[in-house]
Amino acid sequence: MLMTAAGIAAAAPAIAAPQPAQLTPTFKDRDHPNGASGKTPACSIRFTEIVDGRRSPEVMGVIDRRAIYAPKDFQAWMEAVLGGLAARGVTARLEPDAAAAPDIPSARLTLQIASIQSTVVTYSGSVVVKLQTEGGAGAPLDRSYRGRVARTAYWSGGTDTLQSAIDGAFADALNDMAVDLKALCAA
Amino acid sequence: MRILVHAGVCLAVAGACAGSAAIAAPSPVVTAEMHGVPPDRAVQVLVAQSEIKSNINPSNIAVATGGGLLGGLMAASQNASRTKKAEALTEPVREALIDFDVDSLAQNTTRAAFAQVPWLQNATVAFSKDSSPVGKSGALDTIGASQVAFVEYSYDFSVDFAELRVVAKVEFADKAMPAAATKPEGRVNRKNLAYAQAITTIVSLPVPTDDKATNVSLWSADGASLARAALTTAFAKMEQLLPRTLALTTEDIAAMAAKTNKKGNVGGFAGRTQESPGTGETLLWGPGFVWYRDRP
Repeated sequence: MLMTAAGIAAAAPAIAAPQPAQLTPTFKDRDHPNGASGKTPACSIRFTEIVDGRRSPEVMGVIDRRAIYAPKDFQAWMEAVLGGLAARGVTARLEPDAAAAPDIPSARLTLQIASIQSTVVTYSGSVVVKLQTEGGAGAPLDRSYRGRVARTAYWSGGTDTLQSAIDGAFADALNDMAVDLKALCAA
Repeated sequence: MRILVHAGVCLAVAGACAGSAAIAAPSPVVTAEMHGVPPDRAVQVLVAQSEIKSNINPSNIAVATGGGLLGGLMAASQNASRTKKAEALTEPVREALIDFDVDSLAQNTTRAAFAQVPWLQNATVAFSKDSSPVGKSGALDTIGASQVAFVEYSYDFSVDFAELRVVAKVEFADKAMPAAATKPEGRVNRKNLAYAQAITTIVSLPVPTDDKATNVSLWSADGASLARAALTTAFAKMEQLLPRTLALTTEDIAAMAAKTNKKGNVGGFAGRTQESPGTGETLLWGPGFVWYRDRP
């Protein structure tokens, strides 16, 4: 029996609307589950400013009729993400005061996009982070880093899978950021 | 298991369709009586996505293998692989469109369109990224109007990246709880809507190829000039078709859907061919207008 999309939608049994998923301001690094293994990388970058440049700071996407809310504490979230640089050879120092460490390269980080969308049962997390630096070796950086990852929700499309999708996207971006940041520390 | 639950729901719906009585659907037309009722109608523009979406041809392995756990797992794996490739392909265009504000374009388009509709000219226009039922239900409560006209936009590429598509879903929902609803979100269930229609505008590459990567490179070249032009064109056409859709009568729809109109298919959308809007343009009635242009 052929039906239009509208007809099928009208005939569908009433299914309770899913409640929003709230992500937490954390960062779980699948690429480096042990973090920096207790070591403090010699290369340090001083992050003087962390800016929220998102057009949509509250909602990261809507999947299967469920809204995905971004972590409420933006600063804590970004600090957790920047902590992932340690496992990649860069120590992120959160010091707005330039006098605190004048010889260390400084950076301004802007989160431009953090979103999750779905295609069938695959969740795709995407982030775009802009990095602007001063000091250090070589030319200062002024570029964006894009990270993305796909997670398949075989068993559960729960908050853990969504969190994992955005964590993976950040990890992808951190990989490229770390390469360029370490170059600033080169003697 | 999520994949089998999806399949189970689809089978249950098909079964219900086979034997059930007709279920009320929202009106596809705004009657004259609805124009001024309620007098305090508000508008909310919704754009859930942050960047242009990609598309895939979903795997049919599950069907081919007769369903079951193995078929479901294989299908999910194949879909994941296709999604990863599509997402990777889309990246250059997204990069080049990073500063293109589709959210503002959607809002401006809606304001300009509704300014042409006498009974919507004074409606306040709000914006949200939360197009979920819970989000819409919350909007019905916070906006305060007796009825909200939700205009939900989505934009993506066709599977072969030859076309860029924009879809607008227009739905009127009442703030008052329907008699049979048990939860507030029931107010935005399709069966409880006062009105619903959809409009699709599609813009093709001037010279699309059979290769997805080549098509993407065409869209993203020169700071994504073609993609920017296509989005601008698609929303500009939406500005024309929104008021035209809201002015349709039952007779108009019957005439457009008549079987004497030839069948057409553009950008993955099928319908009955209507008068040609112009050179290189096609207009179908799907239901809902489907407009296609062969270049930005």
